[in-house]
Amino acid sequence: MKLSHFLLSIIFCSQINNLYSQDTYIRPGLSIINIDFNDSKSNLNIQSVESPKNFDFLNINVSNLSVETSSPKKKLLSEIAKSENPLAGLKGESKSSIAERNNKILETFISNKVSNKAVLAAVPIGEDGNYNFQFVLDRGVNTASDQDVNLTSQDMMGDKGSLQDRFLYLTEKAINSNYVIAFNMPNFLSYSDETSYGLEGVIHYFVFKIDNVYDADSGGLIYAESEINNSQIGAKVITSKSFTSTSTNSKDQSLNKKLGILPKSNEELASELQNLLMQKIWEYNLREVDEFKPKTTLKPKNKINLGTKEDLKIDNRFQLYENVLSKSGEIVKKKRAMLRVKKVGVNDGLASGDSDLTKLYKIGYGKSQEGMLVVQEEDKGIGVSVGYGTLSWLRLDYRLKGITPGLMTFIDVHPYPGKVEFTDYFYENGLLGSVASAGSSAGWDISDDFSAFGFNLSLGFEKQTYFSSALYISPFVSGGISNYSISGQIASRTVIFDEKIEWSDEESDIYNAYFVTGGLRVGLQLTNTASINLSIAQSAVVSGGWKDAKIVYSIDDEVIADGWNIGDPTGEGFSEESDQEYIDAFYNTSIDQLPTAPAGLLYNIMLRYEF
Amino acid sequence: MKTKLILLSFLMCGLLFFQSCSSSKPATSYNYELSCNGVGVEGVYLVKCYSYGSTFEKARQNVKKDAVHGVLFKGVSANSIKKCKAQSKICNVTYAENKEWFDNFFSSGQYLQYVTLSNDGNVSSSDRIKIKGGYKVGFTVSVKSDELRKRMEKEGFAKKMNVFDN
Repeated sequence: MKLSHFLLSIIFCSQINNLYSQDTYIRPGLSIINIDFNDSKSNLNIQSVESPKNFDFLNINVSNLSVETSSPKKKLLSEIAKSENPLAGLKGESKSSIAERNNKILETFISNKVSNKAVLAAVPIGEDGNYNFQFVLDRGVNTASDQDVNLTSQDMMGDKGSLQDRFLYLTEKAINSNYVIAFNMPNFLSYSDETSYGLEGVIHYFVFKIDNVYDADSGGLIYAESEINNSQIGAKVITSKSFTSTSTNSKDQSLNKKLGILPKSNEELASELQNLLMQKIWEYNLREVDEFKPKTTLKPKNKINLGTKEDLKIDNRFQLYENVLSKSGEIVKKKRAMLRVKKVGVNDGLASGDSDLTKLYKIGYGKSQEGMLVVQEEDKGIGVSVGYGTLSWLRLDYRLKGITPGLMTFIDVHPYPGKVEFTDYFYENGLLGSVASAGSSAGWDISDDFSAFGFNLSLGFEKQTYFSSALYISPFVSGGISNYSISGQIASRTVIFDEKIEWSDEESDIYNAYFVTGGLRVGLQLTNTASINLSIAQSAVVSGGWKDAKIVYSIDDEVIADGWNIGDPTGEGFSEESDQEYIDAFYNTSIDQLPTAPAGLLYNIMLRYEF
Repeated sequence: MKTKLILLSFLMCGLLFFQSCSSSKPATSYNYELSCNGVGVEGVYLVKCYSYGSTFEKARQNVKKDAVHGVLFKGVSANSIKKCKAQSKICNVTYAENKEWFDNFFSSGQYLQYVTLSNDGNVSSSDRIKIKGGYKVGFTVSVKSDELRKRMEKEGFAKKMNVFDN
């Protein structure tokens, strides 16, 4: 397109400037660079960074920016563990320190003309020495949402303006929505804890918004081609944040060996760690930076003009707002309802105005009506449930977005910590009974200083299906483990030697079983984020069950003998008892309020909150 | 005397009752805000019309009628941001003077041939405002002002434009 045509179009388009409000969305233009500090050089390979589709990635002619200041303080887990006062490591920097550093960074950013280069990334200068507006037009076509296109399709000439003319109007937004993200990612450090080893890293990032350089009313770009390089183009830091993460291999590789899985190499660990850090950044951007939140106007039947181009996924969360005239005469935005994505419309490429629409479904209460403002305000997708029943009383769930609406994975926990009361029967039967009967006459001091611990842990999947915005059912399946064990000292004698009788550390289980559970939850939303759930499930043991436990006799901490507790006495001690009914009966008689392993028909009622 | 007073009282009440019945509301109420919204081609007014309705849909239903009514009887106010000037009203008569004709013009839907919703009827969320008892919604509308003027001139409700006038 010739420049003259473009300018003519600008004049035309400027007449319809501000026809639509700021409540529309265009994918932000984004350039990324490295930033080096006095104490921290960034080693991020910019080429390896993959930006979400929600941004329009631009190529800026800057690789590194050096700033004469120190990097943000963000301690790694290994550093916190080593420090004398670990809690101090968790404390963040003061706001004034952050502001001071950000000002210094911004000063360097502007004086190094990074803003100018970001503008040239958005509107490059062609071989003929003029701005390449065809590049801008191509961007406009592919970054605009269908809502923008619809709101510029007005009947100006007794006929609709051409698609190209309408997109030209969007160039103002495309050029002015220009951001630069600067990353500082120092070399990763090695990491190790009790169970794993690998790498640990930190990343600091700063988001710059380049000042507007395009004004349709003034005839286009504020800076001529000849002056763009030497002009002082401003910017501002709209957010900055640091994240840490680890990427590890398990120290116990026995299971992986059986499965033929090799531990991750150093390169693989580094690549995984970089991806984890980047994921945190993009998720934070979407949740916390207003400028990056896709927004549009709600169409009839809870549909919107956003889709795959804006990187929407099934179950992404949107908040619905309505403009309300207040008593004081001001127009204020009021939150009306919460919605999630049910089906993502495919709107990649040219925004024609009639691309696929994305379908939303409402969660909880409030009204959703055509014309309201819809803003993507992503949640963490983590739900916490607490309640009462035979199934479990604590559940954590995580929403698996992008697969099918309402799909979640969950972990059910049902711990029974604390001391369990043993009956006299316990002290009168089995090997322990033999010890106890000898009692004080043989010099044994029955310490009774032992306890039972039980837990029930399962991992599963569920899928919520809403009948109405407030009522849903959620079928679920899970598999897990139930375990009860006894530990501690039974008796001691110090007449001649230091003698002890204890429960074995290795054979301390009295119950260990794997089970599967299937069931159904019925949920009622109390608010948009809180609900009450009634679950009913059938659980069945697939392997394992009741077990005998071992008792160990030691002198001066040297193991002399061990023996099963409730098996039949033999010449060499007690044999292991394996009769399920017998052991079940034994422990049910000898332990008061024996925790019941979940089996058969189970139920619970829980209060759930989703973050 | 007492009987006369009672009769008189009944008569007064009856009169008041019939009076209240006879003061019926107009068939259509026109409540809107109209401003120019850009420079259209010659013979077309591009206007932003904020209409009112108990629901969003009712406001949408009212907007075309409101826009034509405004162009005929109120004129279009200027908008410096959009760089467009005010337009004077087309009719030199009032609605009330020719109530029967205009009631028919609007109720029969004849006005619809002079007006179209722009932007395919799409509205930005900032143009949809909840107010007490309903909604105020801003639509972009184009009104074929030249054709509308010719019709009004033909009916004798507008003075013929001097061809040399702008």
